[in-house]
Amino acid sequence: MKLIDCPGIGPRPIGECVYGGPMLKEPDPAVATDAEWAGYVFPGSVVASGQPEWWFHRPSGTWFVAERDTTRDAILTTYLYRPGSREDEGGGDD
Amino acid sequence: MIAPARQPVLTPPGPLKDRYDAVIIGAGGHGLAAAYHLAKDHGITDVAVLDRGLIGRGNTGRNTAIVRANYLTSEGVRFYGRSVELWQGLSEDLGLNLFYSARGHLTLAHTDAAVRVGKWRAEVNRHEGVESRFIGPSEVKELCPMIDLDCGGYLPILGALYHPPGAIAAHDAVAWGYARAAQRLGVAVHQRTAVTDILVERGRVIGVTTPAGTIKTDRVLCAVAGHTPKLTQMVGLTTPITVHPLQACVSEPLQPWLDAIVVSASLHCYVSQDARGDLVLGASLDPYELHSQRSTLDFLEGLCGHLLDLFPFLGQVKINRQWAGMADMTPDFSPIMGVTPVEGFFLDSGWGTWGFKATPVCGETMAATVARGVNHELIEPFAIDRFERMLLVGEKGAASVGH
Amino acid sequence: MTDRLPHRATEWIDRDRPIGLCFDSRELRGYAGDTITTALWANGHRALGRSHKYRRPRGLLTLSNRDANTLFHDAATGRTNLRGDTTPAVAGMDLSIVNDNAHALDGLTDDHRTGCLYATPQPPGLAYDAFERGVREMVGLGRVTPGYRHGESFAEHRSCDVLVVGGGISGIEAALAAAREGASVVLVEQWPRLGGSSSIDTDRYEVVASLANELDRQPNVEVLTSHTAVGVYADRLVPVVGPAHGGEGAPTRMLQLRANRLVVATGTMPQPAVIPNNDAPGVMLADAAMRLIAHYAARPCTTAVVVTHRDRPEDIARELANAGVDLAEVVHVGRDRPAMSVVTDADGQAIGVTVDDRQVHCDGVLLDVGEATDDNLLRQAGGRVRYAPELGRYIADEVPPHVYAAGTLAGATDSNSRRASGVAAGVAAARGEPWSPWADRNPSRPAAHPFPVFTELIADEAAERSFVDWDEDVTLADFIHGIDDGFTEVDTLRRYIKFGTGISQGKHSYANALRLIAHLLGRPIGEAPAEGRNLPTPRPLYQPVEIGVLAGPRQHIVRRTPMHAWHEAAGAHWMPAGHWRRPAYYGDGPRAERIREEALRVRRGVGVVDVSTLGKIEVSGPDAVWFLERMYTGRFTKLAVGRTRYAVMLDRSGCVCDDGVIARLTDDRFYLTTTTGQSDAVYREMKRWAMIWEADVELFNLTGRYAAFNVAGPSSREVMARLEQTDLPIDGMPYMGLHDGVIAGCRARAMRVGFVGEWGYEIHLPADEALEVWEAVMSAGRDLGIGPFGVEAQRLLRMEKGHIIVGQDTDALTYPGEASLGWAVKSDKPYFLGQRSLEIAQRRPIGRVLVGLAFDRVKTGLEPGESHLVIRDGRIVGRLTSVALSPTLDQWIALGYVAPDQCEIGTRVDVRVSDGVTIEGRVTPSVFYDPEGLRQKEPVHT
Repeated sequence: MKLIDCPGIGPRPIGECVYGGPMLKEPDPAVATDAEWAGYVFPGSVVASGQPEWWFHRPSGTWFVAERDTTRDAILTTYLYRPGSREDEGGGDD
Repeated sequence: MIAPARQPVLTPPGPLKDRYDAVIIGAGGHGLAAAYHLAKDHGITDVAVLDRGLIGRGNTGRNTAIVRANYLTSEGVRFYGRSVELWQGLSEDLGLNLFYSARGHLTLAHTDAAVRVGKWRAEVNRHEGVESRFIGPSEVKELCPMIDLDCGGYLPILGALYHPPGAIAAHDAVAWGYARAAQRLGVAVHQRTAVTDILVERGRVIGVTTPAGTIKTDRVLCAVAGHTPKLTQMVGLTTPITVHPLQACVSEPLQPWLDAIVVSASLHCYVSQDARGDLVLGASLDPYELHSQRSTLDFLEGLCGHLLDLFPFLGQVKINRQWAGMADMTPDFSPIMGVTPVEGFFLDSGWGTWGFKATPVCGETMAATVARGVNHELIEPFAIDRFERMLLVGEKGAASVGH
Repeated sequence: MTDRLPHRATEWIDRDRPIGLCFDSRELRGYAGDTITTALWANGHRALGRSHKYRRPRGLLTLSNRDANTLFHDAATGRTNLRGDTTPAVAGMDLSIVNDNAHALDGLTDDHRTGCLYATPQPPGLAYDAFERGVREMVGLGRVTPGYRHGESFAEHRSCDVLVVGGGISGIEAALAAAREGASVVLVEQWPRLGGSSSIDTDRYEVVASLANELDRQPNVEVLTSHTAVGVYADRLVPVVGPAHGGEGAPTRMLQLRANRLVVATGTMPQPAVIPNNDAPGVMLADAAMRLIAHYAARPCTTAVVVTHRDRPEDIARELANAGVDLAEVVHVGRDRPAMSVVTDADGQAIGVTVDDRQVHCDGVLLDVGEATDDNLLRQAGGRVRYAPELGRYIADEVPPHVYAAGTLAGATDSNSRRASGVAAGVAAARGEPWSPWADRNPSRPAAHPFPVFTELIADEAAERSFVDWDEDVTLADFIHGIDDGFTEVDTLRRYIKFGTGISQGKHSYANALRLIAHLLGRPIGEAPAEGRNLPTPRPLYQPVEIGVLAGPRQHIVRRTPMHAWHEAAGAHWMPAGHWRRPAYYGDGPRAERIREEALRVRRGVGVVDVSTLGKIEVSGPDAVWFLERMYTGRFTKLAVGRTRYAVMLDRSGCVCDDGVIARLTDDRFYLTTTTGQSDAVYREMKRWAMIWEADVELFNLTGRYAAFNVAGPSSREVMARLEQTDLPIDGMPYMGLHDGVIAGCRARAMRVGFVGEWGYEIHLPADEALEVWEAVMSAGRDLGIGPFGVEAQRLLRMEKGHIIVGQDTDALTYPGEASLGWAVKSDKPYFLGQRSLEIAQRRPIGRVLVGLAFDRVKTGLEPGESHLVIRDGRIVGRLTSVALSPTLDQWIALGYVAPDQCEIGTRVDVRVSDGVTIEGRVTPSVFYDPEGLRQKEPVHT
């Protein structure tokens, strides 16, 4: 099985983790148009690599962030979520 | 050399022109079927089908070749019901033996929830004129005598949704058949011709670019399965499609012992035996998004374990080869089809794990949609704007396993 | 043993251990160390199989399991499709050829043959499906044995610094070199002994033996002979398949090796020549003949013709002479390319060849016409190869990090350079240095692999008997047809005429096919833009692997509640609920009757149901209320300490995804339940949102740690009062109240909830003490007629009460208003999950409404059932989601969806039951039983 480096835990079989979808900022429900909101609720594929995604390590109950190259099935980096890190351009490289 | 007195299947298309009435991206079953129906039903023959690779070498050649119409919603049943009708006459239509073989399709229920969904599908199917019924364990055993109803005591079989028209076919031949038929009507199929951009001006499609030059056209049909996000990006369209690999494998050939197509969502596995005796096997979609056709060992481990729950004597049968296709999934397990906010840009996408069985009806309905510029009535429920309206199609309950 | 030769130094058979086996009901004798194929061959059997499509007799071709010629069924064990070339002969085997069915498809015309019968016109007068059935009956190899059971399976997981695949001379050197660098090394070799192609040579054999001894002395090397690496997966996970504990007949295991570095030294695969009747028994690879002699001391034939691309195949001549085989002729195909074909007798066996116009008699035709590199695993690992015209084969060009190629695959040629390339790869792998392509310093190039077709091509009839792919009966004629049919790309032609797709996956056919296609299309092999295209992506598995081996030990996850054994003893009939097992009902006899009794016991006395499978989560912290109000649709600010409240959760699209009860333990501490199926997902989502919202809360998933059961019925109060208890004012607990205390000596939490519509207590308590308390409850209530009830009775009781079950009375797209849960949605809150989506959905009229339905005068056979449809004007407007014959009301009742304008009480709706008949249902209040809730609540004191 593929390995994923769980922050603070180390490499684990990827089957221990649950994929949680792309990490998107929730639009302000009061302001967002229906289309914008639908884009958040039903996010489509991001073809570019290195997009932050949610991953959950089940045995330890830990959410973390992974950036992958989805065309190569390669995990580029993983890190623990930090508030606001999704807004940092390229942030969270620990 | 031997000079066979027969019709070639593929003919060289001649040089790529700089203008077509319609351009179809993707020379898989869907794209070729749409080309065929454009020419046959609507007299639009000035059509180019472009593919960055070879015909039928995407998901058309990677699926497990199951055809059925036993869906959960009326919209789905009508749509796939029409597809099965077309399938039944397709070998004759195309003049090519597709090895279409009605085997009967069993969706096993191991839980009371699955029994309920199975019965629901049966009721909706019958209402829409599609032959399906929910049967008990003893009838499952009659249709599939080798099955272990007890599943080794793990998840005993409580019954099954039985769909007699469920069939398998030779998937590669479907692409060849449509390609040949379309070419005879004047369609040009250009393999190894990648579309590098789709040109849009003032909200209208005006052409596509390829390494061999720019092609003018005001109608582009995108039928590229797992590559859809890359194409929609070219026209600035966003869809809720995500791409997940769907893996499959085949065994070595065996003498015939399994007629029915057997699906178990609870055990994440499905199996049929094709004409040459191979067991064709699959499981559910890979759990995380991936734009890659890689295979995994855990797929084989899980699938084989569950297969032995159903058929414990298969322990000695060998798996020969595994592969994967890229499935374009939607949130409601239903396709995204028809006109889009970009005028002249038509989508045939979101096929997830059901694209093969829809091939003929997609050809028919997409051709009508492209020809008329409005959605064919059978595909209206699958329009792209349903997501922002929170008006999803209710197929999701029926399809937790890919087949 | 007619064809067994005297002892030789290189042999692998153990002459001290003769074995007896049966082939075609004839007894024969072999030796331990024989494979099935070699035992049969040594006993003079030549026809060892029949071809897949035309059912032509086949003999030994590669002796390497690189063809499907030699497949056997063993009646003694029920195993089938045994690979004769590599499966050890075992005493007692009762072998026959798989599918030795004389039906031939030879009667088909050319048109039917090409494209494996797919792209063929319909046979006259035969429907397509009848044709398909006919084909099915004839093809297929082995027959399954219904009683076969796979023995013990093993799953082993290990890692090593360096994994070397291929135990030929370069692999051995690589393993030794890596070991000397201090790396932990595993060397995998598919044959029983090391040496590869060097092991058949009387001279080089000594060298191999001494290197193997040296390997043995390295403590950090593990040599796995008779093991095959069957794939390379992500992060260099290499499954290796072989006997679990050595020796023949041992169960097969799959060892999953995680290799820090991978050295691929898989060498070459000799290839056959394409000449008419090249598939006749007696025609074989010279390599197979050499190994037959060297390893199995079996004579390949008595008179041989050698077809070679080399000037002087001295090694072959020498070994044949040693084996007492007459060498009738050496046919040089490299320079001459003579017109030649194999002559067969009436049984299809080779009895000679014609070379130009001469006939030469022989019973063996040995093909020595070049080799292809075995690059499958290297390419699975992400390596790329390039065509080296001077070698006539593909060699490694680029490899990804941590992957190394060695030996012929790396471009080495003679024995010395193969050894040196192995050392280089082993050292680099151990040190973690990058791989560099091997450059021969003094290359002694073998002649390039020649064009494989040795007859100037080729009269119709001969082309049809000149095989390129033995597995699939694909001939030269098929290539010509396929290309004429417009399939000019390797990858589509391959599928059209089916070469390389059989069980040996092109191992003996692909190299020739590439040359043939290049020739027929007049383009050079390895042509630059076509390079990548020519090679199909290599896919696992490298060799077919048994399903039982891949499945491993098949551990099913089953969760059991602490009361599981008690239920079992009480005669529970189980039903799965996710990984859990729950009692559906108890006892023998008619199911409906038992369920009815259990339900009535609750209505009239007292019953207990195990609800341990509910999700249980504790939420605490200063932001707990704020957090819960965002997660759920309801309000909890005013929920008093010691009180509970029903709660609904929506998914992001605004649809109902879970429900449960939320209890307030202290101001900032809550305890909540989820449905059984959603417990993991709810906990997971809470963790995620708590993080995103930066909520100051702590979350504990107590689902497994706590058990729970529900004591319900009019006598429940009395039963509870009889239990020893501290701090737990059972009597004073109000409806929807909660209290922590001690019951029967165990710390427990009691909630006064009423899912089933009676006075009742839900007791939550540590799992390891739960059974004791459960038993205490049972004995306390014995004289009151207490008994357990299962999920079925619970569902029936809650339905009478009109309580929905999320997942049964809702589906994945149910909005709360449709399921009559609108009252639980506080839309004026600033935020909750799904709120914005729900608002969009609510802009259009509601599509359906869940109501109660009653059915009067139901006829036998026309009872309503779950999933029956509500039809109006020929359209589906809804369906029944829960249906029961209510024991309390003695009437058929249901919960179901109807059109919004049908939801008035008293409206008649049409429900179609299973055989198509329509019956009439009457819309009723969904609370069928005790609508005021008087039975659950304490009398109101006025």
